[in-house]
Amino acid sequence: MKNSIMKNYDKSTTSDLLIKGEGLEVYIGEIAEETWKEEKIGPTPEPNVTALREWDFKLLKRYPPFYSPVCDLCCLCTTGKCDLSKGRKGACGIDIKTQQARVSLLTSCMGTSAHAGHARHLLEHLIEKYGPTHPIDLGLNIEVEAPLIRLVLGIRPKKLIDLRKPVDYVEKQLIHLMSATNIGQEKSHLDFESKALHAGMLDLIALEVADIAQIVSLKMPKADPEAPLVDFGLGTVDTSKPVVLCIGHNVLPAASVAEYLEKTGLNDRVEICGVCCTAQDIARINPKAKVIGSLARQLYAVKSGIADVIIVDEQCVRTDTMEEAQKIKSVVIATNDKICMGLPNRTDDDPDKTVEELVNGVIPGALILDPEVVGEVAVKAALRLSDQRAQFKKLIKKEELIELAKKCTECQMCNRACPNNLPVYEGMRLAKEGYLEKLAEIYELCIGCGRCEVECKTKLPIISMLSKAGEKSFKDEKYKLRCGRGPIQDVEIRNVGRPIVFGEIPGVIAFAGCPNYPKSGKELVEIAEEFLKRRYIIVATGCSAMSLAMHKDEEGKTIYEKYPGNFDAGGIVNLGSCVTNSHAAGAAVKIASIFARRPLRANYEVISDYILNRIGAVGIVWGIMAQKAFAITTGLNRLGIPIIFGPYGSRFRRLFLGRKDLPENWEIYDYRTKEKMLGEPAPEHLSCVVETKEEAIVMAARLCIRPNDTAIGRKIKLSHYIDLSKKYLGETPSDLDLYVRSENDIPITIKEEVLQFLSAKGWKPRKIPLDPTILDPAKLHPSLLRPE
Amino acid sequence: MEDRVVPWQIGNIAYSTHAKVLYPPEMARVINRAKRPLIVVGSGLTEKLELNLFDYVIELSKTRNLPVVASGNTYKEFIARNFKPVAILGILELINLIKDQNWRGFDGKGQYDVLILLGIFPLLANQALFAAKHFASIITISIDQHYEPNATFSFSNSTVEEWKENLNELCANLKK
Ligand code: SF4
Ligand code: SF4
Ligand code: SF4
Repeated sequence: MKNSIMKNYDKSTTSDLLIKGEGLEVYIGEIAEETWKEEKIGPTPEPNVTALREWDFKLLKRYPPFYSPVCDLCCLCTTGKCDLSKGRKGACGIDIKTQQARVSLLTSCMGTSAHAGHARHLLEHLIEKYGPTHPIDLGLNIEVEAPLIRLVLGIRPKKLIDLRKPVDYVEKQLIHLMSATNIGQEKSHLDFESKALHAGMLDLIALEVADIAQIVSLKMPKADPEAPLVDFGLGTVDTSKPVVLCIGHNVLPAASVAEYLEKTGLNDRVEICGVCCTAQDIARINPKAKVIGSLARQLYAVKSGIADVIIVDEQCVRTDTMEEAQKIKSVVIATNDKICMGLPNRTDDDPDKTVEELVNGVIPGALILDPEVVGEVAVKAALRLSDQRAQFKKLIKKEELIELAKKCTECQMCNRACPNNLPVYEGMRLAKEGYLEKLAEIYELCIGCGRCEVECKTKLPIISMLSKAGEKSFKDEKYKLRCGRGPIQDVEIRNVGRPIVFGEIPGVIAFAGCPNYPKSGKELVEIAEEFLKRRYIIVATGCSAMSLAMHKDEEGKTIYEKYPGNFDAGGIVNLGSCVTNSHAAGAAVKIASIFARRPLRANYEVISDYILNRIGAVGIVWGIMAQKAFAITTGLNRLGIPIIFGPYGSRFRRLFLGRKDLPENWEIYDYRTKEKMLGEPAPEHLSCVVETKEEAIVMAARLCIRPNDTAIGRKIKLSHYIDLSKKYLGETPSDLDLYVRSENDIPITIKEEVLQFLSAKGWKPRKIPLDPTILDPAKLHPSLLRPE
Repeated sequence: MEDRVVPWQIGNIAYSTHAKVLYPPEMARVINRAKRPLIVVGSGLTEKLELNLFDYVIELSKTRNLPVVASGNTYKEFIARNFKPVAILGILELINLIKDQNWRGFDGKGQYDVLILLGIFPLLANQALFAAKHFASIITISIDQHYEPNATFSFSNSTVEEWKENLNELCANLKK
């Protein structure tokens, strides 16, 4: 296929003729959508930028954007920089609030573009390799194969080529959204946010395309709760063998390495390992592949020197990878049009010639855009380089570390550079005396950004020193991760739909995001385990899913070994890489459609309203670095799923905060009686930031409360909420009165105590909507709520 | 533009409006003049238990009967010391209330006019103060160890010993 993925697509775009291979395979027409006769098309197929604006404005009224800028200035055009502080406006007339909203849209578009580019690249390659008519078969238990595509576009993809339409749609919409960020375009912060929400929705579509395409083509687990447990951690890599390290998010090149190893029988001779989402995905294809860890381990993995060949694909790849690789004499293969690294293009060259050039140092790396060629070149180069690189695969010695530490001038610039305020300088001072414990502690907490090293005027190799100090945990970094299972089965949805919607399963908590945590990733495990013991459902994706595997209990078991992998109370489900966030959203959509039988097809508002009011799901994004994570969370917000960020979430400038002290903000309709009534702040926020794990736990319990909970469900949710609040914050939650609708909601074992609390607050019972909605019942045609 | 103190975290530069550094007696004057001051504290207090910052905050609060919002994970420690904060609330949620001029405060008596911050995770304090600076009309005072550019007033960067002295001097200068 060579350089031609995008070229081929350009030729055949949404046309009805596609020619494949040497023989002729002709495919006429893309989506035979007219076959979907059972369900009527809903009101918003392929919504344009303004089609869901009314829904967004409903959300934005309840959850007005809260802005925390990261700079007083705007520098987006040549008239600037403009100082927007103290109520000033920029030369274009924009104020600081609108400017933040504009950046929010930009950020959302950046993230969505990354995912859409990923989806396109993957899809076109897979169409070319497996054929346009390759079936979308996600296994026996999945009929609703693409809930988000059905919901947004109103189509049912059956074959790979049917996934083109969603990507076409996302790409077109993105142009309109980006255009609104140009100077002189949109004026209202709310409209900017509505557009950002639109971008978020598109993002989830792109993710769904990418994951479905790879699952059905690359033989990844199909919604399997018992997907294999795979080796995880830096310590699992056998460095005596040639090592190929894959970094990024697009699994194609890594898959080609796995395929080549299989084909040549070299599986046991070469180690293939990965960092970040490519690692998660390669483990879904080849359970023998080693998952080193999240983005936080990227710099450590590269600097450790273990990799003979480093393959980078796309997203989350450090910009200095080439520079670092050269220091340890590894070669780099860039494989994607998004990251070419200035390398010579060897896509169409003879692989052996390229290997020769790489091994002999003629070129430091190569750009190879055809994934099928990457596998051969990477494996052959690794086999040749491994011996000559042996000296680079070792950690520095303890004595060397101490000598290096002695050079530290104690300027403290490392501490000042560290985003997590880690005490590197204090560690160095102790290391001079031979005490490495402090540095070892820092290794555990470090997010691997490398800023300390950049700032050190003595040029100390701080990361390598931290690796040595943390050697024990470094070598012990051997864990078990349940590899990504992909979507949730329809049958699982049927089983849990009712208890979730009635509140008897107290909530679904989804962990997503990047690994720049404020403290150790262990906190993530503590949060998850607290809820697992309470029989919430835990879902995890991307780097979070990997961080959850990075701690063992006293018996040496990781959370994935202790709890089952099914989507049920007390289960922990690793969906897979970042693209599988679409299945977390998809599960919520499927509950509305499969369990509650809400018409799904192009019926976005009704389904989102259902999720907002009935499905106690919340996302915890404890670290957030990539714009993609912002786009994902914004997409979940539009669907009515609230998000809790760790401290770094505040740096993306915008939250959607509710005001529980203003009862008028929580008015709700009862569709059954068409009556408008005072509701409750459930969920209180659509996105918020907390500082500590204690706050996150209590907030998660609170954000799982929904207006639709039955009295039994509410009792269960409140008993956890009260208990967790007492346990972690030290008191009964002060807003408890807002969530008790009648005495029936009060947990029996603490009824007296709660009644006392309520009477001190002057609490009175209130009406409970039987069919809660924030949509105006007068405008809701019954056919949107029940299949005809 | 006033002389600028370099923020402790080296990336935190390039603001047009930045905190004025005050010495403890001047800072005390601002707080003494305030009609409705409020203190908010965060997880830094629990992380540095050896510095006895909880006891310090209780003492600070008692000088002028200043209400304390317990953010992060601090509430429990206050209760263990027989001190009751006025609320448990996340810092950004607090700023969200403070930026609304119609908010009546935790006691229903009206909006606050001075907010004193201590021990919030630095990156988050920075963002909270950015929001307050642009969207609230409150005076913000950072009494952390390091200069906080987005507050209205801040201590300058100091060693732990200097900082403790600053804290004590601030307390000593507050009206009883
Ligand atoms: S886009 Fe507007 S605010 Fe920004 S620099 Fe240009 S004129 Fe100034
Ligand atoms: S690499 Fe680790 S220690 Fe260094 S600045 Fe980044 S987080 Fe801090
Ligand atoms: S920046 Fe370098 S020299 Fe300065 S304290 Fe840190 S390690 Fe030492």
